[in-house]
Amino acid sequence: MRTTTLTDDDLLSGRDAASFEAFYLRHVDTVLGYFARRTGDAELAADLASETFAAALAGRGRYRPRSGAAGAWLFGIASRKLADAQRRGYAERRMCRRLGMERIELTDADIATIEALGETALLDGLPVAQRDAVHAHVIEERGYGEIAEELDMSEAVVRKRVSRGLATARRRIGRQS
Amino acid sequence: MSQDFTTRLQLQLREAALREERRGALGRRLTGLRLAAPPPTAAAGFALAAVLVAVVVALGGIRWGGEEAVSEPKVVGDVPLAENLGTIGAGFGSVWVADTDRQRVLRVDPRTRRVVARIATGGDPNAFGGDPVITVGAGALWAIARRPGFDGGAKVLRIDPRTNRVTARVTLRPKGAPRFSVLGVQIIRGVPWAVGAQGAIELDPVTAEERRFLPIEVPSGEPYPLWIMGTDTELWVLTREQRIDRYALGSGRRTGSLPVRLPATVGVLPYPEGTVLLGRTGEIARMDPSDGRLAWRRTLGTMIGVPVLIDGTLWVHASDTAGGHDRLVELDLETGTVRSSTVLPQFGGVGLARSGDDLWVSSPAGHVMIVRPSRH
Repeated sequence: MRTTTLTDDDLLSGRDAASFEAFYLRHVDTVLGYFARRTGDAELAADLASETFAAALAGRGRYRPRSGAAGAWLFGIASRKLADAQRRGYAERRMCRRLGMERIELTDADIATIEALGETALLDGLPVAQRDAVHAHVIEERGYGEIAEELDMSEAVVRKRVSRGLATARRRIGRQS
Repeated sequence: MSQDFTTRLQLQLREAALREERRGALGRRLTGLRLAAPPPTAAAGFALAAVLVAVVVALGGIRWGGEEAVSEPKVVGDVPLAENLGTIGAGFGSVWVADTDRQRVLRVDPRTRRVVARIATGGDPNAFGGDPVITVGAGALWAIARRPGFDGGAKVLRIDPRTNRVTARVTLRPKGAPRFSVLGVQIIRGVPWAVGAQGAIELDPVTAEERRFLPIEVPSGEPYPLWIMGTDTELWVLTREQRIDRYALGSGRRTGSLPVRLPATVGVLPYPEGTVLLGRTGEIARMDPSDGRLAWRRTLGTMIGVPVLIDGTLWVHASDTAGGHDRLVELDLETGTVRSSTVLPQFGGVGLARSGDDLWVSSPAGHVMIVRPSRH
């Protein structure tokens, strides 16, 4: 089954593994960024994202398609998981255990990526040039040289855009936390 | 050599979704059987057993008759060995597989496909990629057993294949390095090296003690490099700047640096016949190591494993998140032409090894899948 052109509603309504996997790939960065931003803790964000997608997988039979509702449904689960974790002081793993999913230990690189996803929640307000440079270097993990070549500019300019973009994003996080 | 968090979660969700899918389909079939069939009798039971055996045979779960040559690659075995499997290797007349559920090595007789020895190694049950991480070569089986946390002190174990006993167990703590995040053991010119995010440690092949440490340069503020691999004379490091830095194994000095031209490269395999690049999203390419130019480039699904090279042919496990079953793909190293693509019965591939004529693929769900290549 090709899933690339299907809507979120189609993917959640499908009962096959490939549909859910495509749904996961569409939303995982956003969900991780949401948790990273709200918790400030990459490990907790990863646990909450795992539990959220496990709950979505187990509960997708109860989802009723309405145009544009799939994202809201997923974030409804996410916000409940976050509230539970804030109340308990840790992320529950009930749905992961039910589905036989093991806890994933994070590497330093994973932590850096998740933290960056949390920061990119704020990238939308950045100037386009800085946002694109930060996205290319931090999220897509591309080298400065490769980005510079693609944008037809010097590596130093790309480095400056990334640096300024991240600095602005960090200042915003500081103000909002 | 490693997968990031989102990929590992993707794999876990895929397997959970497939289990649900199978459970749902089986439930529906059994419900239909109950609704349509008369009360069970011995005859009905035998009939059902016969149907199940036929299904298992069709899926390749039972092998009838002797060895056979095939005109196209063919799955000739799908054998459950444990709850979870990790890395796999072949040597000393056996196939060795990491049981990452119980932190032990399983020694498998390739002829009967039965486990003939279980060797406890210890390790972190939640370790990145699963413990132990095994390698066969330099006269022994080598296993890495980590402590919880990516930077925890890990041990390297040397296992004697004649006795299946652990003959050395050494903590990897290189002199001059504050920490060592080990990824695995590589055999370079017959000598074992423990390779990690901070460099490589040459090990004594008998005692497993450190002989020397070859550190690599990691830019300040950058996370670990993406990939480290040894050639006969050099250590190749794929940096997050998408460059391959080379270090001479003899002097430890950096001898060169080359940009990588395949976007989002996450793995580099320097074969004597040509260097292969692995992309994050299922791309594979052959690179000219003198100038970095790509000789060819192919996309095989959305995620690929680490290939093995046999007689100029690359074999690589490929998944396609949108296209269903995983496959074992055979590629001509020279041209990149796909020679065959074999559907695999299990999802996920964490290790690939050659035993005799056959290729063994270990799956995270605990099966080994055995593929017999065609006779070209």
